[in-house]
Amino acid sequence: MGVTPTLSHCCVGSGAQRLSGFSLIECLVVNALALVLLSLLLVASADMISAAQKAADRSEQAIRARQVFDFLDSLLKTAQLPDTWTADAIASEGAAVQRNLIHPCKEFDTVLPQPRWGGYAIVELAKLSCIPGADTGVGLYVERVLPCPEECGEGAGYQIVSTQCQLRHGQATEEFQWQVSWEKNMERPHRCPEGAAWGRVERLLISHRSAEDSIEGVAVLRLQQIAQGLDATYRWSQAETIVLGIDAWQLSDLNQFSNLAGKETRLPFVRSDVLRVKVIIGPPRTEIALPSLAIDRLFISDRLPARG
Amino acid sequence: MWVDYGIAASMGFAGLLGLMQLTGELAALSMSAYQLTMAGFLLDELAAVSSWEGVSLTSAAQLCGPSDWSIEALHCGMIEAWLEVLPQGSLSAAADGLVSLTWQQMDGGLMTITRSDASD
Repeated sequence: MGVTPTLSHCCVGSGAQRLSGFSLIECLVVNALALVLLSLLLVASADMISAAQKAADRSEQAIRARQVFDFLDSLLKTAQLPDTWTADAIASEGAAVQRNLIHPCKEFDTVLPQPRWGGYAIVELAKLSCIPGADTGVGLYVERVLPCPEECGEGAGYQIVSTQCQLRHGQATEEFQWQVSWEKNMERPHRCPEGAAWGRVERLLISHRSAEDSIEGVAVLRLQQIAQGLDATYRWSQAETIVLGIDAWQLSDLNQFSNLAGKETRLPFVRSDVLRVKVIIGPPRTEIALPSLAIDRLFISDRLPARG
Repeated sequence: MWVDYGIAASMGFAGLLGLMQLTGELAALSMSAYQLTMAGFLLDELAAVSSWEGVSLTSAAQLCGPSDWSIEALHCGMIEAWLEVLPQGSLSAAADGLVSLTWQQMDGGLMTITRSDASD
């Protein structure tokens, strides 16, 4: 008896709620519109994400090139005697300076004193039997001079001192030459007078290894240094990676023929003054179709007389 | 229900728009880094060319600027190529020995970096 009104109230209320809701058609239309909008947004954001990845990869390529060139810059700037050491000597040397470097496979201890040390040269790796793991192609051999005690650090290495350090008390010489020998540390040589300059000479080789030849499957630019082995012989170290992803590099000496006038046969490792380096950097990720980036840089020795 | 639906939809759209905005900002940042690196290469190359040719940095900038490419007074190396990478890139030399490199960034703003002979 009291149930009927309650049921009636229930059903009337339910009918009113259904009237205020959405029909099936409305729901389908709304959902379809939402899906269209969502897919448009997803397509647009996928395009933007792809563009952002391309921009990031392009930027990474440029930054890798910057790493290579900054490293070369820092090396080549020190590939000569410091300016303060040669202020008096350079003017008198003029154009008669001998322009050869010591062969990378030759020890310094057997070399007579020279007026100039430091420099860089393009070398053919296949011809350097002393270098482990050397590939074919060309490398950049760098002989750099770091003044002590500011920049040379500690530890054994080649020490460069003026030949004036070997003069006896009272002796004098007008000729300013430098002698290099292997020392256990880079402390001031006892025989040198107060104020005499000394430094460390480093010998470095930069080479390239292609992706096919490397274990990691990535093309790399590599650095090797010379050090004294346990048996007192000098050895080039195993190569360490400097920068990854360098697909290729090309070196060209722009003034080799103009300045040397036929001396190539006598001087196999000719010091270079103008070097053009081209690096080709591959895309960091293979899944994104991005062309390789090729960048050229010109490196000029500070001591090069201007052409103009 | 309308309100719930509206809130959910607007939250979704706001999130997606925010993601797009963030992606755009990241792309712009990467592009700026790329252009800045290229601009650095250009000025380094200009310094090397000026040293090689025996002229001042400002003279090299004037001779290798876009208006003077037809003259071919200098071998400008890769300068022309770097300048083309930069949108509306222009090289100018001031009387005080400063060389300015200006280009347009993705947001429309102009970026300028300068170098002098002394700062090489």
